[in-house]
Amino acid sequence: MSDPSVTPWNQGRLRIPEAQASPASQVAVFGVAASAFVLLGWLSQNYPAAVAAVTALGIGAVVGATTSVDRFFRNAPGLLMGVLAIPVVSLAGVIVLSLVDAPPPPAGDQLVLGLGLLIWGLDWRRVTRLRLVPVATGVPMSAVAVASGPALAMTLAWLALALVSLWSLEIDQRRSYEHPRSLASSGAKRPGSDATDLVASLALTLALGLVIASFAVLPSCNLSLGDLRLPWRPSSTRVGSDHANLDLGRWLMFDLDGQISGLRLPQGGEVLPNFELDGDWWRLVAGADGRPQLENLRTGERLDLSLEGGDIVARDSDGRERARFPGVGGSEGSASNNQDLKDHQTTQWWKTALVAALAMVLLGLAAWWWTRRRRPSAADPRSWAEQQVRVLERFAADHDRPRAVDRSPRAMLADLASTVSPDPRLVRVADVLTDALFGRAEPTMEERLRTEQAIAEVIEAHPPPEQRGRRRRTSPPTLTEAADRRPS
Amino acid sequence: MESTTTRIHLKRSTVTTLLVGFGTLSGLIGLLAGRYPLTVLGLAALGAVAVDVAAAVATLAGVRLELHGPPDAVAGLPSEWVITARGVRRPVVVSPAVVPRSPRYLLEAGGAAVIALPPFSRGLIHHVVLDLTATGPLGLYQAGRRILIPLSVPLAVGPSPVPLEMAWPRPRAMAFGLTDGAPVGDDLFRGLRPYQRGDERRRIHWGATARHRQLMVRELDGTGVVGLRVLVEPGEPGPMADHVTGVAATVTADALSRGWAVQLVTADGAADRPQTPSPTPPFKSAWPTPIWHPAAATTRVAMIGGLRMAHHQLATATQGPLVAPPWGGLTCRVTPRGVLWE
Repeated sequence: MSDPSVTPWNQGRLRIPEAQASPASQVAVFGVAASAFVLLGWLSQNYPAAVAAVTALGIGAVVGATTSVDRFFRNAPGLLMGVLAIPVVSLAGVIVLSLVDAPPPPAGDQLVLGLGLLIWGLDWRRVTRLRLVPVATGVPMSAVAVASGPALAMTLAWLALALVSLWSLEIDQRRSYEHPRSLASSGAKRPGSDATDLVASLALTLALGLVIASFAVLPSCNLSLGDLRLPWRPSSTRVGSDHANLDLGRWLMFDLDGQISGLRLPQGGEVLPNFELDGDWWRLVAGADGRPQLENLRTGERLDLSLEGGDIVARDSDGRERARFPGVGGSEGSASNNQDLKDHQTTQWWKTALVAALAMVLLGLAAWWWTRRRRPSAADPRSWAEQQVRVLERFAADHDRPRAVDRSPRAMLADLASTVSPDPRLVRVADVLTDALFGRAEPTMEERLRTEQAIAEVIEAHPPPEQRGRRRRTSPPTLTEAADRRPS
Repeated sequence: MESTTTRIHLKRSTVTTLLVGFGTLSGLIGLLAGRYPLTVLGLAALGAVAVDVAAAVATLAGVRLELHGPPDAVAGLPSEWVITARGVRRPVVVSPAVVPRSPRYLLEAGGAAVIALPPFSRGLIHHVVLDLTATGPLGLYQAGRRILIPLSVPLAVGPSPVPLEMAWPRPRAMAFGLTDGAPVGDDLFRGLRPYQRGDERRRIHWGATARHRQLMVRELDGTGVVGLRVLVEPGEPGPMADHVTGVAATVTADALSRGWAVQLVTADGAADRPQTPSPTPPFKSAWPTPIWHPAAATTRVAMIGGLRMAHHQLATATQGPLVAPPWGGLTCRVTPRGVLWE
């Protein structure tokens, strides 16, 4: 009889083709990268460098899109190779120049950078590689977003272009799937031909960003670090009859050096740091504990400031009122002031809650990543074989034949077959495990299943000696045994 | 029987992870530094991910699948199935949950379509497991669920016939009449033809010879029934067992084409319908539909009325003791050592 023919599981047609980007997607992605470079050039006022970078990347992308040079980047992305090329070429250039004792060429750094971009552009066909471009160019876009001027408009335009490129790449990815033969009479839609998805996503995304950001920059929700420059903050605020310890820091204005530059009155208006009061000139200073005080420029006398009933009151060391900066006054002022204080408390609460929520989200993301991180899959033939070998090692150890360090799995199984379990299938199990561990050919899924079944049946058929003993001890004696044990 | 499905799971890509990190950092820095454009950029990036997740999940939420397969299948060959999808609003991808990954089919609209499932092993298929995935417009997140579809009638996956060069023994009749109404005792006259060298002299029809002025012989159809019993001993489950059953299928088909009566004797490994398992989560290791060949407890002896009947019986043939009543015709034993005639 002829040998059986082994049917390959993974026939050629079963392989998932790697998606290739369409020309439209390639152009869109290039537009994303080029706009990022141009905006960086605008930010640094270095337009020649931006044009050079765009040109280098464009040349690489054209070459990569029109030729099959991307096959050299099958295992490593062009982005990584380009980044790695920069220090390597720089180091090589430095060594060569030092050997020939020549000065560095002009614009050498730009040349090396352009070479890296050129290499990056050569890998411009695979969808998975091009998906990285919007994210990679998003980092320099952060610098653009920090700049003043029309940063918001440019940022949003770039983001919209990045989303369009991602959408186009996703359509290319869908094109790589197989299409079933439809039995319906009506014509099927082209994959992703409906741009409703894109429009809805763009609108929702930008709306989310704008709305949440607008909400976040509201005074009650602002996380700005500007308040942290305050030299004095009360440890607690109290609302009630005792207004002496109320927070005055929020009414103070500070200059860039952190010095008090003025006093903002609750009802509006400002008090300059130097002002005339009852014929004397006074100025606003920070006391020893950071509390604001009024200092007489002529005598050096200092008055403590406190917020009372909506007015800012200056009192001397005896507690006598020396000056009153009228606020909104009366109960109405107090109510307004209380409202401000409540708002301030709300601000504190919002800040704490938002920071706590963000921290929890970050912690959750980290925990999620930790639990979902890539582990050796059970489908991996090597890890599968190692797992089976561990099972067999436990089985051998249970039968007082532990595997020695220098003993191969095949030798261990041969020993088991000759001593514990004379099962011929163990020879085949040894072949499969050895091939999976050290061979080039992966075991087929059928071989795996049969191997696992053989191992399971061998282990079940040969329980450890102590289990057999336990079972014998616990099992009730048969009638014959009982009769034999009965004293005559 | 109702199909069972897992809840919707999500899978992100590396780009998604980077985008989430970029958005979070940009948003935080923008908020802390009071930079509105940077805040918008970061939050919009996070919003894009959120919108994409919502779209992917919503796509899968209402999709229902029905699967109708062929009456039987051949081991090692893909089979065509009709899949009917309902509730498809955006493109979804269907792929059989096997390793290695089989073709992924893009279903863009509801309705019936034909897909090819990867080759099965020999045995009975009680259910098919499919992975249903969908992405959002930007492809940042992949939502998926695994659906286990039980088959109302188990699919018999029989062996693929193996081309065989075999010396057939001289047939001998074991009985007369295939049916109760068949004539018994005499052969049936079919026609006349010119004499050829080697024809029996007693077949010469003298009357026709006189009329045609050349030797003419009678052609007769025999009514004797040639019976063949095929004993199948496939050995241990594996490629060789599939090969042996494939040889048995070839022998059976050849014998049926000769008009012989064929009795197939196998150790039947068909177990009762197993309890439908719960599908494992998608995006995890997928395993081929396990086909186990339990130790045979019974011998299945059946007169084969057609190729499909032999196909079904050989699908569950396994190694075991063969107990069969006496047989008067030819007997061959198909084993890993070859076809042995008795």
